[in-house]
Amino acid sequence: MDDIEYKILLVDDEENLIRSMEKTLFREGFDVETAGGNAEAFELINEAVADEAPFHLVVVDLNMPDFEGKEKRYAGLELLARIKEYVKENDLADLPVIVNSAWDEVETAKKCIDAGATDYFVKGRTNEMLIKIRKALHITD
Amino acid sequence: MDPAQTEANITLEKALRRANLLAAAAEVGQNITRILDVEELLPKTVDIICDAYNFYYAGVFIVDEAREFAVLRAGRGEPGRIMIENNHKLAVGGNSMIGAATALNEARISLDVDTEKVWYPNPVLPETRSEMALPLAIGGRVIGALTVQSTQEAAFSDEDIVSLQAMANQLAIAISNAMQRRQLDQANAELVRTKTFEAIATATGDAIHWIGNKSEPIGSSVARIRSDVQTLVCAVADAIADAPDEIKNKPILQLLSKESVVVREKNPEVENVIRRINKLKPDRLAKMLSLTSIMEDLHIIADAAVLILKIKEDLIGPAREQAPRPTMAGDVLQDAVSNFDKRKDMEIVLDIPMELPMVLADPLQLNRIFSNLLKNAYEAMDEQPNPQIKVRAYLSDNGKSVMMDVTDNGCGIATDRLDKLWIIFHTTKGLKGHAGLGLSACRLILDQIGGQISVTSQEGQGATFTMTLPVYDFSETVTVEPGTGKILLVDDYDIWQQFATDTLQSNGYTVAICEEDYSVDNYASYDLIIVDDLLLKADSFEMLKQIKDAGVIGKTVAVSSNPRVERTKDRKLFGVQNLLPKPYTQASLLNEVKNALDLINQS
Repeated sequence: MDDIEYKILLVDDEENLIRSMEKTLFREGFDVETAGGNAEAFELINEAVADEAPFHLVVVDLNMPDFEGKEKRYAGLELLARIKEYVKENDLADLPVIVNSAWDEVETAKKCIDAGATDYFVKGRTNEMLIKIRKALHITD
Repeated sequence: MDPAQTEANITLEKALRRANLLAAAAEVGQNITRILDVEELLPKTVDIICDAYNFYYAGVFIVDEAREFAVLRAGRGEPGRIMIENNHKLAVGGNSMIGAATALNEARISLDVDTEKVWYPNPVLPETRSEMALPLAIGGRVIGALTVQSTQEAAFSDEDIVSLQAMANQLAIAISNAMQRRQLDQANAELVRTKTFEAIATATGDAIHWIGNKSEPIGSSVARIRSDVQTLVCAVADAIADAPDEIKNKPILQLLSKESVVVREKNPEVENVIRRINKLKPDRLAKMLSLTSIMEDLHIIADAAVLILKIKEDLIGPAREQAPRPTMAGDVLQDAVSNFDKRKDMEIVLDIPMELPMVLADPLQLNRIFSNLLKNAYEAMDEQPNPQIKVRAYLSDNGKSVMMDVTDNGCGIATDRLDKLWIIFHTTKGLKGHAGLGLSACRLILDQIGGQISVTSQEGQGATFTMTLPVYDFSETVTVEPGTGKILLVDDYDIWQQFATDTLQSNGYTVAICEEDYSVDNYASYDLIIVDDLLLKADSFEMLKQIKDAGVIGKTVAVSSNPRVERTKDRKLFGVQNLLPKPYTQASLLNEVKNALDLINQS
């Protein structure tokens, strides 16, 4: 994986958590950027496309500020929908989105996958996160 | 009397009787429709009916759900009480007048119970000579029956049925209304329970999420620090491997070399990490393995620990023992404000009048509440360019409470969130910030002392939290026996001086107040000296020295609003008889004085 530098966007409003995830991914060799909510995330995605250095993957928190900046349940799914729309509108390469949340619940995972998420993991499960990110990026060691 | 006259008299008598019955029916109707609670309605109804019609007994039966029995729900007097206690019920359609009335929706009359076949002889109603059973029906559906009984034979006529049934119909409506109301109340209560449960479930869900978010990074941070330290130790050991002996032999480097061997033994993976980081460009290396990175991870752990401890404090806070005593809430508030770690550009406007009466509260717990509210206000003004907190204390209109407002000009609270504020674990800051325990803890603490807290807010326009604290009632009854003695009081805080003087004088003591220049002619002439440990305009310890010089330090009680261990120990070593915590109550002051005088007299 050293040949390609994968760009990952992490979206979460929990400062320490996102910083910790960022550090973990950075150590795994990923190029990581972070956003604290939907609006900021979407702006970064847009900019990256404009700079011709698009993200390869987005990891979003399920519950965080929505596009209006209001803390909301399932706000992550709004971002997911917006990304799917954006990719389609602009005829871009698929941008996988992995959703994560504190909820270790079947229904929540189902909801995310139904909404078009590439994968789902429960927060704090670092190994699971890394496996799922590699899988989504088709990285084989 | 001619037959025509007789006929006319009978007609008149009948008309009068009917008029009386209708008047009674109207009276009953008027009285019962006012009662909305079915448990109150039924017993009152039987009394109202007996009084209005002058009946010996009346009873109300309600048909059970299975429509098998008419169950007696209310009965006049002692007979009624006995029958209800015995769960008196009659089969619907059975061989009784109530049974017939409820089955057929028709009134039944027994003019002479001794000769009646369909009559249930009742040992607790021995004087009944005639009885009428009236169905209680709503729209053709019988819900029960009313029995009315008289001590006279043939007390009821067929014509009476009309007026009594009219009354019974009104009663049926009243019962039906009351029952429906009760069902509505029950349904409403159930709805409230469900809503409360939902709210708690939501709040708990949020809390799980929150605690998860806060504690999740700890594991990763610990793992990183562990790996970083091990990598650094091995990297340094490698770097000095080829160094000259004078460097290698330095004790600290020898130690590192030794430890690197242990690290490599226990954790072979470290070799891979070192190999990888050696290939990294300097900027990437710095980002991955630097003191800054380690410090950042430590910061993440420390942050989580602080927040988890806060939850503990918030959960335990209201459960702590409260020691309510007369307290100057204004002082506590001022104290909380001065200890508040505010943003530099934040303005805190205080409006706390000196002359506020004391409240009955535990100062420590009050401090927690004020600090919580200030912190909330602070957090609500995160993005406010001119943050301002206004703190105002004032007396309520009725003079029974001290009110305190904490107002911020922050983001405000949306209307649909106002009610949820008080739920444990609920937070307007969503899943970020603190756990939302603060406000529910505040409310619990205030509940315990008879206080209240409420909020008014509009989104985007700040919020005002208002606390109501009960004013301390100085007329509390004190059960300390009166005493005698001459007491010198040294306290230059007016309110306390007055309070202590009044308390002591009204219990038989003679009280002398220290002069304005704090000079005392003859300390030894007093039986007891009470000295406040924190005088406004003099050095309290200097006074204690004078008292010691006068040889009466053993007759001195120090009063301290901050009786910490060190201070208590110092004063005791200095020779004071005791330390009384301030604020004190009438009872604690009187007890202290009595005990002190007893001890002084014994020695």
